[in-house]
Amino acid sequence: MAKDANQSDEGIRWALVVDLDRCTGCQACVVACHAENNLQIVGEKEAAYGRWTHWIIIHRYWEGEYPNVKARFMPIMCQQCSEAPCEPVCPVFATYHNEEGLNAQIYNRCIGTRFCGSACPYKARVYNWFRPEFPEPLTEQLNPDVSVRTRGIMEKCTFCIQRIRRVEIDAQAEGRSPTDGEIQPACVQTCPTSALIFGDLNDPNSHVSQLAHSRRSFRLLPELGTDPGVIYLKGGEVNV
Amino acid sequence: MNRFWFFSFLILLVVGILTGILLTRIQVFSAPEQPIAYSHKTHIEAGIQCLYCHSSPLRSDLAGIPSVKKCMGCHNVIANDKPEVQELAGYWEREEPIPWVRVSSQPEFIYFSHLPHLGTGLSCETCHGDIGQMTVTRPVVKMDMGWCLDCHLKEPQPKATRLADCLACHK
Repeated sequence: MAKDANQSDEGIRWALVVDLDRCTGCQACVVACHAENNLQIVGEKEAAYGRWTHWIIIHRYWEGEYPNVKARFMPIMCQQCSEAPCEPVCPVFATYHNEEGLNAQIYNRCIGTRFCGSACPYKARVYNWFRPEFPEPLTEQLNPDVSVRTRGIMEKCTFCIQRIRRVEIDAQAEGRSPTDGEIQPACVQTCPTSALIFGDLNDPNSHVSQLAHSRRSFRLLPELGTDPGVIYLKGGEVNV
Repeated sequence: MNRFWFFSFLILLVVGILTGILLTRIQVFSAPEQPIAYSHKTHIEAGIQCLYCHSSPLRSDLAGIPSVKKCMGCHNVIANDKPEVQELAGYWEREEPIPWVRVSSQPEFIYFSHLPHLGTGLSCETCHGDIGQMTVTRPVVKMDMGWCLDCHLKEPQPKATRLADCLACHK
């Protein structure tokens, strides 16, 4: 079992809190993620074969019996596990764990065996089945801080590493550390109900670590011992 | 007879490899042809600081290429009898940007920012060579991963670990 994330630890561990009581399933995070991370769009037909490239998938559940039915939504992205099942299966070390608790994917190394995608219990990894095509003028909106992945590369949510890096460099230039809430991945920035919160789990004063300690918090498939960096909240009084 | 073929094959192989290495180096260190024969040496000897023209490395990723306006700020009055400066004036009158050719570049999958590098006290010459003595601007180092890591790994811990992380540069 990985080190308990609730214990205080030196260094940073980036974590994302998803408040399921607030999520309305509007898919704004999915769109923001597409725009930020240069995700290709495969179309309806290929997506039906499971060849989508969304880094966030919103699952929908129905709760209750008619007429008292509630729709519940659950955004699922890469869980940035401490004990990630995808890492040991990669034959070329394209995916590894970095110092800040991120599960990194290095596209140059990836040879597309898709072992990691098979090993991931959350099915958060996607494969580029096609050469990405961005018809004009969509090429003008590609993010220069993110590479465009070619065909045959495995990819997944990075917690917007380019944004983390940018804030860290800017903060360093000003001689300070990034403040809590200063780093915002695209999904967090765009979420209209503030259902997504990003921060350092090892900092006991951060918003994220306080929410992680609330009684509403849980993680996906905890019995697997993957120790995810994405924490879900559910069971509040909010009625959607 | 067999031995003759074997040795000629071997010599051919060695010559081929050496030619390959030589051609790669020529390609990497060759100076690209610029639209105007610009000399850094002339400008540095005139006492102009790097940051006067390349004005943004202390606050952004890119060092920046000066606009035609900035060039004309001086060359309206200075050395405007030289043919190169007259070419520059032509761009100014046609209101066209000068299509300078990039000399030092990083591959598209690499995130590079000037800001943190200058923040640690590196000077321009560390990576760009003695550019103040160049009449034709050419790269002095092959900017590959080994070259980056040469410096990154020499930093004290724990900085070296952070800088040796793939995600520090790969995007």
